[in-house]
Amino acid sequence: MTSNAANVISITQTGSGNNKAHVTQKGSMGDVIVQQTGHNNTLVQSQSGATNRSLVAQSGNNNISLQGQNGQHNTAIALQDGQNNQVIHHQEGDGNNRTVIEVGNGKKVVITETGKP
Amino acid sequence: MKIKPLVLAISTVLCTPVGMADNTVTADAAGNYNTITASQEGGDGNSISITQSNDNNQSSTKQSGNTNAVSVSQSAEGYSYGNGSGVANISQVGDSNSVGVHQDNHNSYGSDHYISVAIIDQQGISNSTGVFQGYQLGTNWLTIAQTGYSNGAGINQFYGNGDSADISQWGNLNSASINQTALNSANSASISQDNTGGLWGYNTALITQDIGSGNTASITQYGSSNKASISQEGSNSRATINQQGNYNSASISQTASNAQAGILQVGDSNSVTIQQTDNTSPQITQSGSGNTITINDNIWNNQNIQIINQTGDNNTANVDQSAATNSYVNVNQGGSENNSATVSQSGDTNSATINQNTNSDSGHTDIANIIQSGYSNTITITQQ
Repeated sequence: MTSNAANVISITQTGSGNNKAHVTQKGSMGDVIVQQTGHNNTLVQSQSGATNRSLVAQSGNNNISLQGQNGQHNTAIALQDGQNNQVIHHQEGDGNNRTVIEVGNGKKVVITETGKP
Repeated sequence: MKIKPLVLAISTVLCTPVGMADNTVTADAAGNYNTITASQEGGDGNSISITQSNDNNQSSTKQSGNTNAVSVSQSAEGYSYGNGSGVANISQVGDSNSVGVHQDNHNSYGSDHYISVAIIDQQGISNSTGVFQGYQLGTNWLTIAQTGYSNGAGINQFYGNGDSADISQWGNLNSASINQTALNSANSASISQDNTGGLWGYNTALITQDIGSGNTASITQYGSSNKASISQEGSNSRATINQQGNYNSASISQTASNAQAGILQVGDSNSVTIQQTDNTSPQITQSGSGNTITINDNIWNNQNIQIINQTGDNNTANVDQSAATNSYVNVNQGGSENNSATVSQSGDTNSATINQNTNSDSGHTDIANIIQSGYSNTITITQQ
């Protein structure tokens, strides 16, 4: 993924699973890219600022992705492939906040948005 | 025939040819408690050669002038005596002078209280010193001071107990190397190179400690464009490098377990390279900009704890832990522009943390990248 962001965080966790990633990014124009494979993985991510982007890809079962964004014009994308996975998106702020989620064989999606569209 | 102390052979040679050149002093003494004093002042191309065999011998030499040479040999003879407590004291003032010292208890006979001592002081340019201290049941002890530039000192301490070697150099374009091979107890080595106030240092310092356990090595360099390198093969070793200036490089290699490494660099465009194995805990601090840190733990790393602190901008930290278990990496980058940190861990129950200060309004980019493969690993990244 080519990024023109001010700050970039890239995480790759591969293996059988039970991995944890905790990400905090403050500022604007930041990118967070997370890839986890295996089972029972957890991602907790927080972005505050404008025009940030978050891309999470999890393959396996019983994975959890919690992506929180506070600001404007942020983008959160979660891709999950497996069973009993969970995505929680929480966005606060005005503007064109967008959320795109694909869940394959997943069971739970929670999206909360506050602010003007 | 056993030689009794204080009864026999106090041999004193005093030669003082002032202002003459190509003088030679040669002194040989066999026995115990001998003392030889030789002095050559004011001439060039002079030489002093001293050979003392058996125990508790001492020599003291002074030379002033250029292209002078001193050679001291204190060693055991036969199978009855060792060089128990030989002392060599050497002073040279001038340029292109040389010193050679050989202290050798090759019978490994005597007491572990024996101490071989060499004290060397050189002032001038293009001087050189080579010292061998070996096969000592007791301790080898060495100190070298060189003032000037383009000087060199090479030390080999072989099979002693608790040996120590200290080299101090003032000026630039100097080189110092210490090689220690322990018999039982831990050895210690220290090199200090100071070019404070000079524009470029170009000093090099190398410490190699083979086998043994609990060895310690430290290098301190003041000035720019210096190189420091420490290699330790024994377990429980400790290495410390302190560099203050720009364009310096520090390298530590520790190939046994339970090793500790500490590096402090103050200045810009400095670099650190560390290679370690099990149960290691390097702590690295860089203060300045354009600095780089590279750590490679590439052979079965367990319970390694690596802490990296960088303050300033345009810094880079790269950490690679392969086949690691229960290891921890913490990278703290306190600058706000164009810093980069990459951590790679393969194995189980590892954790990695990156903390970066950022300034997104500046148009610069900070990058944090962690790659883990294995089970039950943990990542924490904070950019703020």
